[in-house]
Amino acid sequence: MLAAAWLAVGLAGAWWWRADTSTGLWWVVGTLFLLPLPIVPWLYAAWFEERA
Amino acid sequence: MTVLVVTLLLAACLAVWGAGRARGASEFFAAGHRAGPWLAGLAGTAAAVSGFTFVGGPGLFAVAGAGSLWLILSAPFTGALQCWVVGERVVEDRPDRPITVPELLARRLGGRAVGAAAAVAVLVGCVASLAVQARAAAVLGEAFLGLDGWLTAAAVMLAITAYTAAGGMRAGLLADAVQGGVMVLVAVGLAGAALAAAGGPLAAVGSLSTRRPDLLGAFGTFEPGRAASLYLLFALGTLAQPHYVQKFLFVRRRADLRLLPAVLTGALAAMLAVWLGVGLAGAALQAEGRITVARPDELAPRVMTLLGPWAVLLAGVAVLAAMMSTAASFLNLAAAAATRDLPAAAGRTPCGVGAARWATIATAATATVLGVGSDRAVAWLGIAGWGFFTAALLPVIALGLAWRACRPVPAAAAVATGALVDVALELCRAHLPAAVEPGLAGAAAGALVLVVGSLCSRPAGETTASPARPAPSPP
Repeated sequence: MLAAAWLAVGLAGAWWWRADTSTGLWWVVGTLFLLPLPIVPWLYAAWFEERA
Repeated sequence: MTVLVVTLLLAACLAVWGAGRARGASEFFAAGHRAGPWLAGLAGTAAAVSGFTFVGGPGLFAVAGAGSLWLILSAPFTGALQCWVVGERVVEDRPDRPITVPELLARRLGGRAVGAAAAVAVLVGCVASLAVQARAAAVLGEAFLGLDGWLTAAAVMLAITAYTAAGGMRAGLLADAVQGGVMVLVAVGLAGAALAAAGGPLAAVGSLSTRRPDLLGAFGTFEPGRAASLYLLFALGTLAQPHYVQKFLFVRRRADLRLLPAVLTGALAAMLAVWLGVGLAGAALQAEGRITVARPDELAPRVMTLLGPWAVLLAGVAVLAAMMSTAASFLNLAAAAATRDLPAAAGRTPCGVGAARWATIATAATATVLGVGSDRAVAWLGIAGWGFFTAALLPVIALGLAWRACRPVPAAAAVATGALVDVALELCRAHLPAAVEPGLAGAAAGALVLVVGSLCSRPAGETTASPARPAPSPP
């Protein structure tokens, strides 16, 4: 659910700023790439024992 | 030339080291299930990243701008996705684990048909992908090392074949991990140097805003639908690439999966820095007229030339490492399909490691001749890459491993359907809407066949696991 919500926000922002040269690029790089880089592996590790 | 000679010498040493250690099938095809998260993560990422990331990626940025980034934007979560969907169903704390991808599917789904279909798909896809790698080696020699293309391709394929045939993935795992480390360091260094040459990321974006605004925005020159379908293709496709799945066969124990996504994601993000850094800087430098590029693939070599001979050399080494690690996995997977999975599917005893060594050599020779001998053949074979594996294997890996009602015959039909739909759509790609990706369409068709076929062929009254599946064993 968390991943789906983040993806929805990221895609909505990309659509909103699709024609804005600078903001569109930084939104895509920041929100869809840089922000989740440390979070997703940490979430996986945090819930690993629970799933096992 | 020095780079090639050193590579050949290192490969020969590794071949001698690996030959004495890879005597059994488990050692040769699955590195004896002895990799921890760091080794499996670095080696797995190196095998996953090909020379395209260093040359084609920045070149694509110069054409599509921000649109090209949609191929790599899923990188933050693909490591966790692979471990969750595939790894947790593949890595078991037991000694008699599968050692090849078709064997894994045959055991989980039951029956020989799905193993045979998967082995054919893996064999065809791996030979085609290897041919593309051989062609890339020729381009590397001409663009970065100033050597003859044929000579470079032959030397590179000889080096890879030496240690892969002698030591299988026991040697390949070690080589891939070292190559992965080299790729991480070089990619970050080159991306930083290229951005510095363009005056920093903000200056590069500012320059493009005035001279090439079409490359910026959220989607660059791509239509949003095409960008979204590429995002999906490269997010879900990671689950179906046999050289990605293979790394889970190397993992020592289930607990190692906990750290694996962090290693995979960190290494991949570092390697992809070159796509964004060199792509953004190169596009800005081209827009300012500081470099001249005739074809997109020339962008990265031109930026490296501008940076200096050290950058050209480092880029050549990184591309070489990327190609070698990817090709080693494909060689081993193809040898496993030919000598182990197909005989098993035919009801015969799998061949030994000796036959696998010869199959590795034969596969490498075939792929080199196909790749360097004909541009047209490579262009056509190139379609059997990422999208082909996604179409053929995504339904059986993502659904088949998780859905307990999945049946073996529909699973085999799903592999064949996905592969055929992908090839048919690739042949008429020019007439397709931009948002239709053949690999995704093939996977959707395969998934439909798998679900409908499994539901229709399910024995009456059955509500739990298929009898073909083995009972879970205690750890």
